[in-house]
Amino acid sequence: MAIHDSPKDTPFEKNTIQGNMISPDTGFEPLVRVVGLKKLFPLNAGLFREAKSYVHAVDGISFTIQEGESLGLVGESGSGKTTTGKLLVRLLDPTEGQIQIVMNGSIADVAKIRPAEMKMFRQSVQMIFQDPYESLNPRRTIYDTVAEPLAVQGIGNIAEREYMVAEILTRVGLIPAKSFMFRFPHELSGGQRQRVAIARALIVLPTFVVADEPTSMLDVSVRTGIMHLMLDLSETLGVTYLYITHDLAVARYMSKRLAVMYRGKIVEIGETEEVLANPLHPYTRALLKAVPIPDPTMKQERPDIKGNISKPIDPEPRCRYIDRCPLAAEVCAANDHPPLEEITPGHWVACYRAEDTR
Amino acid sequence: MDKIHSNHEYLLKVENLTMHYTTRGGEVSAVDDVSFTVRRGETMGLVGESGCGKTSVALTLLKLLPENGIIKGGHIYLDGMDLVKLKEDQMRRVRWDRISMIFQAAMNSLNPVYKVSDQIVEALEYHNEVRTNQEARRRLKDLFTLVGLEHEMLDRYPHEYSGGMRQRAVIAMALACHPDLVIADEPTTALDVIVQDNLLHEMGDLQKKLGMSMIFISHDIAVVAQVCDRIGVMYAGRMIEIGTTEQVFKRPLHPYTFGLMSAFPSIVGPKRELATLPGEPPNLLDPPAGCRFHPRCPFATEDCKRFVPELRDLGGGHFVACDHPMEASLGNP
Amino acid sequence: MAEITRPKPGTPLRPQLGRLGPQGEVQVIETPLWKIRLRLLWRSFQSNFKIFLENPIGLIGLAIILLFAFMAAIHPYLLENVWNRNVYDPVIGIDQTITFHPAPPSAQHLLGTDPLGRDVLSQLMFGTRAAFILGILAAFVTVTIATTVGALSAYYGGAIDTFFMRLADLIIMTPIISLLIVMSALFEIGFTHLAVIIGLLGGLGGATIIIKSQALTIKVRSYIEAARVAGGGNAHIIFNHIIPNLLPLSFLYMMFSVTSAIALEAVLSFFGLLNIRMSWGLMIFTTQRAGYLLDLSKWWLIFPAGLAITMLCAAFYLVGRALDEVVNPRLRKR
Repeated sequence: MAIHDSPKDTPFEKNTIQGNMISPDTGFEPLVRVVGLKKLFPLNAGLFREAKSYVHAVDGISFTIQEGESLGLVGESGSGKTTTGKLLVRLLDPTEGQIQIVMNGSIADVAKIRPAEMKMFRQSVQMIFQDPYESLNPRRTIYDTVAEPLAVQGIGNIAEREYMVAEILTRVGLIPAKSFMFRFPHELSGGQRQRVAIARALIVLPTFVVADEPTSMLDVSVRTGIMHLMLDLSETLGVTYLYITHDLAVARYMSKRLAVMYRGKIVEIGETEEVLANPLHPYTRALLKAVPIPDPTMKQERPDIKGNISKPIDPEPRCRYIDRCPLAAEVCAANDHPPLEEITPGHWVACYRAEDTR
Repeated sequence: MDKIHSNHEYLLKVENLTMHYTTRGGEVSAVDDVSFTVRRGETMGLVGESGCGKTSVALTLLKLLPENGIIKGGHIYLDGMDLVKLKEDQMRRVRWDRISMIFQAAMNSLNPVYKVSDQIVEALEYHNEVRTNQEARRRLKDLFTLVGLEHEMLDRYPHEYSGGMRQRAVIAMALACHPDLVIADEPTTALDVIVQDNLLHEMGDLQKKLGMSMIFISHDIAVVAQVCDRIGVMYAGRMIEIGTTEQVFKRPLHPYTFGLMSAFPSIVGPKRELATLPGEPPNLLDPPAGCRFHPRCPFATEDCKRFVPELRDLGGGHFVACDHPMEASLGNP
Repeated sequence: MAEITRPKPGTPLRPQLGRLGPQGEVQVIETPLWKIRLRLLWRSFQSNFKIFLENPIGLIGLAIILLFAFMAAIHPYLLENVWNRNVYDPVIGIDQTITFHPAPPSAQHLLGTDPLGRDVLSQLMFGTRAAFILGILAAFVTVTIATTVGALSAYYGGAIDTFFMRLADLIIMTPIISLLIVMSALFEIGFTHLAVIIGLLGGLGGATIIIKSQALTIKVRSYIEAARVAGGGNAHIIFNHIIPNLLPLSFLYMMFSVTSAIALEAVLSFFGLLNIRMSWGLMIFTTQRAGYLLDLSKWWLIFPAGLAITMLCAAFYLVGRALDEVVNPRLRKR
C-alpha cells in the first residue's frame, strides 16, 4: 500500500486551507481526511446523449476527522450529507477529490483501493443505515445478517463466527443472544432491528463508521437507548463516527465536532458546543432558530431566511447561499463560493461577511 | 351546511371512547376509555409514541376506521351532537364540513392521476360550498393564497409539487370547507426544519384567522411545545395525562411523561444526560392488567398491576391517570 | 466483557471478538447450523401452509391436484395387478370381445373405449402422469430461466438488460403454435423436447419481464447497500439477496406456467404435431381423426379428456391464486 504524503501537492480550490490545518493541530494524522470531494450526477443522459447538466450533490468539500472525535454532519434534504456518507464507504465513487483514511497503520486513498485491499477496507470502514425496516433482508435470520461481513470476507470458521455473533449481539444489548440469533427481522421491533444493524457494522471492529441518520425513524424513548449504545461502543470498541443527521439536537449529543452542509458545500465546521452557541454562518443561525425547543415558555425568534431550498443543478460561480441570505452583499455575488476560513480557533466558516457580522 | 355556533362550552367532547381492531390474532385494544375536550380556537396536542393510539383516535373521531375497526363504547360530542350515533350518510355530511383531517404522508392524500384543483373542488361540491365553476375557481385561489401556494400550481399534478408544497396542498384541502375542527396527524414529520418552521407558523396564523380548533398529533414533543395550547399524552391506547402545555412540560406528573420529557435532547441549555425508558410499549393484543405502564414504571406497586388508574384532576385542570404521580414520588411540591 | 485492544499497525487485523478456548472448542449453539436452518424452513413452511389453507380456493385446487396425482399413481399398479394388460394398456391394448369400437361405457370399461379399442379410463390415468411431468418440468425450466435472467437483467442493466428485454418482446409477439408447427415439421418433438422448448420460450418471454421488475424493486433496498458495505460482491448479492427474495414470486409463477404448459401440449397433440405415445390431447386427436369429434352420442371420447385438461389446469391456477395471498401479505384478509 503506497503511503501518501499530506496533500500539499493536490489541486485545491483557490484560497483553501493547506494540509492539516482544518483540524486542531494535535500532531496526529487524522483518521479521515477529505480533500476537495465532489460528486456530480448527470441529468437527462441517455444511451446516445451526453448529459447537459449535472446535479452537484457534493460540491467540493474538505474536512478531517481525528480518531476518537466523532463528527456530526447536519443539513437539510438535498444538502449532500447522505451522498458524502456513501462516498466515504465507497458505495459511490467520487467525481473529483480525495478521501484518505488510515488503514492498518498507513494512509490509503479510498477511491484508489485495489481489489486485493478491499477486504481490509471493508474491515476498517462500515456503515449503519437509516431505515431499520429496510436495511435488514427480511428473508435472512439475524445470525445471517450479522455474520454477513464475516462470511463474505472469509473470517473465521462456523464455530468462531457463531461465537463472534453471539458476543456482538450481547454487546448491543440483544440478550440472550441465542434467542435472537435465529429470529427474523419482522419478529423484532424497530429499536431491536437497529441494534442488529449496529452489530453488523461493528462485528469486524472497524475504526470508522458512517452512521446515516440511525435514529430518525425510531421512537423517542428508543432513540436515546440507541444513542447511548453507540456512544458506549464508541469508547469500548474504539470506533469513530461520522454521524449524519438533520436533527441538530441529536447531533449535539453524538458528536464532538459539527459540520453544517448546504447544497453540497460545508458552510461551517467547528466544535459542536461552539457552533451551537456562536453560529457564524447565516444558514446555521437560521437552522438553530428553526429547531423547535421542547420548552413552551421559551418563545423562539423566526429564522432569518427567505425562499426555498433548490436542487444544486449547475450552480453559478457565486456563494451558494446568496438567494436566501439576509447578509448578501456584492462580494458574495462577485466571487465563487467562499472558502472555509478559521474565524476563531477551531471554528471555520465559509462566508465573506463572517468577520463583519460576528 | 349551516354552522350554528352554539353555546356549548366545548367544541369537541370525547367521553370514554373505546375502539378495538379485530385481527386474526385477536382483539387489539387500540383506544381504551379515552376522554378529552377541545374548545373553540384551541390547539390540542396528542402526544405519544408509535402504537399509542393517537392516529387511531383521529380516525375514530372521523369514523374513517377500516372494516375491522369497531367502536366499542363512548361518545364523541361535536357541539353536543354525538358522532358515534350517526349513520354513515349523516357522518359524510359532517366530514370535511365540520371536521377534517390532514393525514400523515401527504402523498397518501393526493390522488396522483388528478390535478390538485380537481381534488379540492370535489370536496367543495359535495358539501355544496360552491355552485358554479367560477365560484369554485375563486374559492380555490383563496385557499391557495391562504396556504401560500402559487395560483399557477392549481392545475398541476401532485408529483410536480415539492414535499413542502404537497403538505400545503393537503392543508388547503383540509380547510376547503372551513371546518370547525382540523385534525393534523404528524403534518410536518417528513419535512426539513426550516420548511417545518414556516408551515407551523402559517398554520398558526390560519387558525387565528379562521377561528378553527386543531388537534395536533405528533411524536415530536418539541413541535408540540411550540404549537399547542393544551396537551394530551397517550400511552398504549390510554390517555394518561392532560393539561396545558406549560403544566405538562414543566411539571410532568405521570412517570411516562416525565421519562419522555427527559429523553428529549435540546440544542439550548446545558448538555444533560438523556434518560432512557427501559422496555418497549406493550402489545395491545394482550395489554398488561391494571395500569398499562406498570411493567416499565420504576414506581410501580402491586396495586398498579391490578387497578386501572382513573384520569383525575390534580389541580388547575391538570389531569393524570396514575395512582403515584411524580410529585408524590419525588416529594417535591 | 474482555477488553478490546487495537492491534499494532502492521499486524494483520484479527477479529478479537470470539476468541476460542485453547483447544478451539467453544460451542455457543449446541445444534449444528444446518439443522437450525432446516428447522426454521420447516416452521416457515408450516405457517405459510396454514395461511394457504384458509383460502377455500386453494383447498379446492389442492384437492383436485391430489385426486389426479392419486390417479396417476395407482395406474401402474392397476395395470400390473388388476387389469389384463393386453386389454387395458392405454396405448396398445385392445378389447376384442367387443365388436364395435368406440364402445360406450360399461362394466368392463367405465369410460368406454376409443375408436382403436383402447380403454378410455386407462388412457385418462396414463395421460395424467404425462400431464404432470410435462407441466412441472416445463414450469421448472421456465421459472429457473426467468429468475436467473430477470435477476441478472435487473442487477446489471445496460446491454444485458436491453438484449433480454427485446428478446422477451420478440417471444411474446411470436405465436407459439405457429412456431411449434414449423418446428415439428423440421424434427420430431417428443415429450422432453416439448418440455424444454416450452420452458425456454416461457422463461425468456413474459415471465422474465415480471420477475425482472420485482428484482428491480429489490435492488434498491437498503439491505443490498448494506451487503455491499459488508464486502459482498456481485455474485454474493445476486445469489444471497436478490434471488432468495424473488423465489416466492417465482414459485407463484410456476403454478401459472404449469397451466399453460398442459394446455399448450393439449393443443399441439390435437394437431398431431407431437411425437408422444399417449396424452389427453392425443385422445382428442384420435377422436377427431376417426371423425367422432362432433358426435355427441360418443361423448366419452372427448368429455373425459377435455374435462381432465380443464380441471387440472384450473386446479393449478387456483393454487396459484391462493399462493398469491401467501406471497403478498397485503392481499390477505385480516
